[in-house]
Amino acid sequence: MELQIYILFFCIPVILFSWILPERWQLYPSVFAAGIFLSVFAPESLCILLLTTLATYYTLKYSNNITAAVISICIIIFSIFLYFKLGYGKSILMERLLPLGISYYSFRQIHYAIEMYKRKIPAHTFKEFLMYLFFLPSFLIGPIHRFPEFLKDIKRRRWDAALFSEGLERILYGFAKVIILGNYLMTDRGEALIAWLEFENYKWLATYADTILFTVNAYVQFAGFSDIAIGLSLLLGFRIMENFNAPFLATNISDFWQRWHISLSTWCRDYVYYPFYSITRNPYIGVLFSMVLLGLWHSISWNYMLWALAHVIAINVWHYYNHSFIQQKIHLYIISPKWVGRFITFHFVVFSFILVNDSDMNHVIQTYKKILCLDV
Amino acid sequence: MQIEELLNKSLNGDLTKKVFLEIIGKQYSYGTFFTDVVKINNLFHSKGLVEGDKMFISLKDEYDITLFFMAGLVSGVTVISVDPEINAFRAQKIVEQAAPEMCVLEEYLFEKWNINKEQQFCLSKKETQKKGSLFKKLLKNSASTDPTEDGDSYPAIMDSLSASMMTYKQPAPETIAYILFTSGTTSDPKGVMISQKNLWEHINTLTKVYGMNHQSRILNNLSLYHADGIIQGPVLAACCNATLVRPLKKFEIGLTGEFLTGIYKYRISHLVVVPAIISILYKFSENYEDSFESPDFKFVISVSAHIEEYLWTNFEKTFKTEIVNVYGLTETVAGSLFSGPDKTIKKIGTVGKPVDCLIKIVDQHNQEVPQGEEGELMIKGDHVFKGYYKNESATQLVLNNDWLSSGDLAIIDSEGFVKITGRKKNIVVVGGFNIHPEEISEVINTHPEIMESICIGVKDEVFGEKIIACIVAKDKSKMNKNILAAYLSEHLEHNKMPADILIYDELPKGLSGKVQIKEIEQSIYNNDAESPDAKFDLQKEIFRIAAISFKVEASNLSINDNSNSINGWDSMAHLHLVTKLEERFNTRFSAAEIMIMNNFKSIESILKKHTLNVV
Repeated sequence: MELQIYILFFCIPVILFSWILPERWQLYPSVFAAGIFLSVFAPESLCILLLTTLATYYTLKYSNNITAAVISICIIIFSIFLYFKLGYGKSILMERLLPLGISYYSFRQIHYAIEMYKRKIPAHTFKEFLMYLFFLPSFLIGPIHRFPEFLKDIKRRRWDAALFSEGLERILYGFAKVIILGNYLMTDRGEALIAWLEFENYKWLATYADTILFTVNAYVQFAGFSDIAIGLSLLLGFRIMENFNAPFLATNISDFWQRWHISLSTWCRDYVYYPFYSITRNPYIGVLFSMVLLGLWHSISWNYMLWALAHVIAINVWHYYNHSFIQQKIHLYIISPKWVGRFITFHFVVFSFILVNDSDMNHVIQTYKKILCLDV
Repeated sequence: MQIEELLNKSLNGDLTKKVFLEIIGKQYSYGTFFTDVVKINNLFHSKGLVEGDKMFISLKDEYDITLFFMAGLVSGVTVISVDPEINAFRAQKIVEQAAPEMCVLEEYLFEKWNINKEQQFCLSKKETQKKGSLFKKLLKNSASTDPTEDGDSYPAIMDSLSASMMTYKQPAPETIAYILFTSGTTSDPKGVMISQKNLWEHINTLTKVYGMNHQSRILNNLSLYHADGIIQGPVLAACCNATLVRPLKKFEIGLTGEFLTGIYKYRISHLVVVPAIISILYKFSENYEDSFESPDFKFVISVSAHIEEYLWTNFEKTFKTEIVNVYGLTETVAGSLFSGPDKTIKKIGTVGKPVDCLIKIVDQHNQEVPQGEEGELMIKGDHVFKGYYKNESATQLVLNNDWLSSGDLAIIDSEGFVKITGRKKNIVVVGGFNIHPEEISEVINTHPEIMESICIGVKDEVFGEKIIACIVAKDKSKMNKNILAAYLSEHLEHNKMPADILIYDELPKGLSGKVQIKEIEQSIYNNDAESPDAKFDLQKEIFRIAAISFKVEASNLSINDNSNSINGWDSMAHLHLVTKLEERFNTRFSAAEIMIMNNFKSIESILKKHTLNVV
C-alpha cells in the first residue's frame, strides 16, 4: 500500500508533464519517473530491468535465428525470475523478498519475445518498448498488459477529457475497494464479526465466514489496486487491460479463470497451455503446467502447489462433465443451472483459498475439518 | 454557398485561427490558407486572368493542390487539375484540348510533358531549399529580394503578392468551376465540366446528408485529383467551416494501423474512403476493432465504387460503426444517391435513395420500366454536369433533356431503394478509379511486338475489380509478361497497370471477327483458384465445427470473432476446435500454428495453407 501511494505521488507530476510537454516528449516523463522511483526504492530492480530490456530488444532486432533468440531470452528471464523467487537473491535484496515489479516485467518481456516470434508485433522503436516496460502505473501490481495494445495507445494517444475523468473515477473506485471494502469492512469489521461468532460459540459459522472474508478481501484489495493502476494509466492516456470481471459471478471454474486475474490467466493460456498442448497433444498436461506456473507465480510453496492442483482437477472435471450426457440430464432437473453453477464455483474457489491462507499445513487441515464438521 | 462570407470569416472573423487543413501532422489555419487564396487571386488579376479563363494545375504537394483549386473556385477561373503521374502523351492531349491561360506545374513537368511556356502564363513549382529554422528566418528577406530569379516560380512568388482582398464578386452560377479529365481514352480524353452552380448545389446536399458543421473533422486521404478526394475533402470542409485531416501521404497496407489509430487521435467525425480501403481495413482489423469507438466519430462514407454487401455488413459488425454508401459519378460532382446515415434512406446492399435529384430507370428505348425491372439508371438535378469539354457528341450520348445516363443498370425495389445490378458502359472500377480498358489496350498496342490485345475487368476480392490484359504477340517475338509490364509502367499511370498479363496464341473470335470477351472471362475464372464459384466455403465449415466446440449458434459467428469475443472459447474448447479441425481436414497443425489460432481469420488462413490440395 505504501509503495502504491508513492507511485501515486510520482504519477502526479508525470501526468502533468505528459500533457503539457510537446507531443514528441510526452512519453518520456513516465520512463524517467519509473527510473527515479526504482533507483530510490529498488536499484537492483532497475539494473535487472535495464539490462534485460536492452538485451531483449536488441537481441530480437539483430538476431539471425529468431527461434534460438526467443528461447534464450525466455530461459534467461525466467531463470532470473526463479533465482529470486527461490530466495537465492537475498544477499542482493537485503530485507526484500523480490526485486520490485520483477513478477510483472519478466512476464511482459517473455510475452514480447514470444509475440515477436509469432510476428504479431507491429513495427516499433526502442523508445516505445522502453516506455512499455517502464510504465509506472502498472509497475508494481500489474496488470501484465500486452505490448501491441500499448503500442496502439502510444500512436493514438491524445488529450481526452472523458478518458481523464474515467481515470479519476477508477482511482476513486480503487481506493474505495481497498480502504472501505477491504481494510474497513472485510478486515476491521469482518474480524470483529468472526470474533463475535466465536465468542457466541458459532464455530462452524465463524470458520465459514473467515474463509469467505479471506477470499473476498483478497479480491477487493487486488481489484482495487488494479483499478488504481488502470485509472492512472487512463490519466496518462492509456487503456490497459482489465484484470477482473466479476469473478464471483462465474458459472463454472473455467469461467472463473476467465474473470480472475485475467492478465495472468490469459498469459498462462497463451504462453504455457497452448505450447504444451501443441507439443504433447494432451490438454491435461497443458492445464497442469499452466495452473502450476500460475500458482508458483504467487509463491513457490507447497500451499500454492496444492492450490494449483486442486484447480487443475476442478477444470478437468468440469470439462469432462460439460461434454458428457450427465450435464444434459442434470440440467433437465435443475431450475436455474447458472445460479447452481455460481454457488458451486464460488464455494470451490473460497475453499481452495484455505490452502493458501495459512502456511502451516496443520492449520489448513484443521480449517477443512471445521468446514466439513469433522472437527469433533 | 456564400464564398464572400467564408473569405471574410477566414481573413478577419472567427475562423482565422481555426485549423482548416492538417496534412501529415502540419496544421494550416483558415487565416493562413485563405490569405494565400487571396494572394493567388491577386496573381490572376495581375496576369489578366478573368472569370471563365482556364488554369491547368499539376502539383504534388497537397497544400498546393488545394490552394490553387480553391483559388480557382473563389475567383471563377476554371481549374483543370491533372495528376503529375499521368503519361506525357495524355497530358499533352489534355493541354492541347484545354488551351489554358495559365499553367501551374512541378518544374520538371514542363520538360517532361513538352509544355510550351510561351503560350500561356506559367508558374513552376520549385522545391525550396531546406534551411535550419534560425537561418531560414535570418535569410528569409534576402531570399525574396531577387524577383527576377524566382518571379515565375511558386512558392517564391507568394512573398511578392498582396494579401489584401479587392472588392469581391462571386462567380456566375454558369461559370465552369472545374474540368476533370477522368474518362475517355488517352488519345481522346473527356473533360467533365462542372459549373459553379453544380458544385455549390451539391455541396449543400452533402452537408445536409452528412450533417456536417464547424465541429466536423473529415479524414479523407483520397487523391486530390479525384472528385471524391478534392470535393468531399477540402472543398466540403471549407464550406462547412470544418477541418480536413490527411494523416498519411498515401494510404498503404503497411500503414493500416496508423490510419485506424488516426480516427481517435485526430478526433475524426467522418471518414471518406473507397471500398478497396474498407476491404483492407477489414482484413487487417485484428487488435484495431475499437478504432471507431471515439465519441467524435459519426460514420464511414464509402465512395467511388460498389461496396459488397458482405463487406458492408461485416465491417459494421466488426468495428461497431456505420457505413454510408454514396453513389455518384464525376458527372454529378460526387454523389446522387445515398444509403444512410438517415435510417429512411439506408438499406445495406443498395445505393439507397436519391437526395435533391430525380431518378428513373429506363429501357433501351429510353422508356421508363415498371418498378422491380432492370434498366439504365438516369439522374436529373442541379448537380448534373454541363457536358464534356469540347466534345458535343459525347455529351449528347449521355445527356438527354437534362437527364444523365449513368451507364449503370439498376432496379428499384418495392421500398424505393435502388440496387445496382450491372454496368452498361465499358468501365472497370479498380479500387474506386474508373478505368477504360480500351485506354490500356491502346497503350499495349503501341508496343512494336504486339499484334493485338484486349483488356477486361474481372472481380477482385480487395479492389472490387482488376484489369487483365490478354495479348497476342507478333510471330517470332520474344514478348513475355515482364517485358510488357516494364513497357507499360513507363507509359501508364500506376493505378492503370493490369493486374495480370495473359499471352494467347490467338484471341477467341466470333464469326464477325469480334473478340469473344465472355469466353476469355470464363477461361480466366476456370484457371483462377480463387474463382468465387470454385471456392470451397471454408469459413462456413470452420463456423460449423466452432459452433459445436463453443456451444453457440454458427449463424452468430463472424470471421472477426476471437477468443475474447466468444464466451465459450476457453482453453479446453480451443483444444476441441483444433482437434476437430485436424480430424475434418485430415491434417496436423504445428505448435506455432496452434499458438496463433486464437481468431477465425488466422484459423482460416492456416487452414487454407493446409487444405490447398485436399478440398
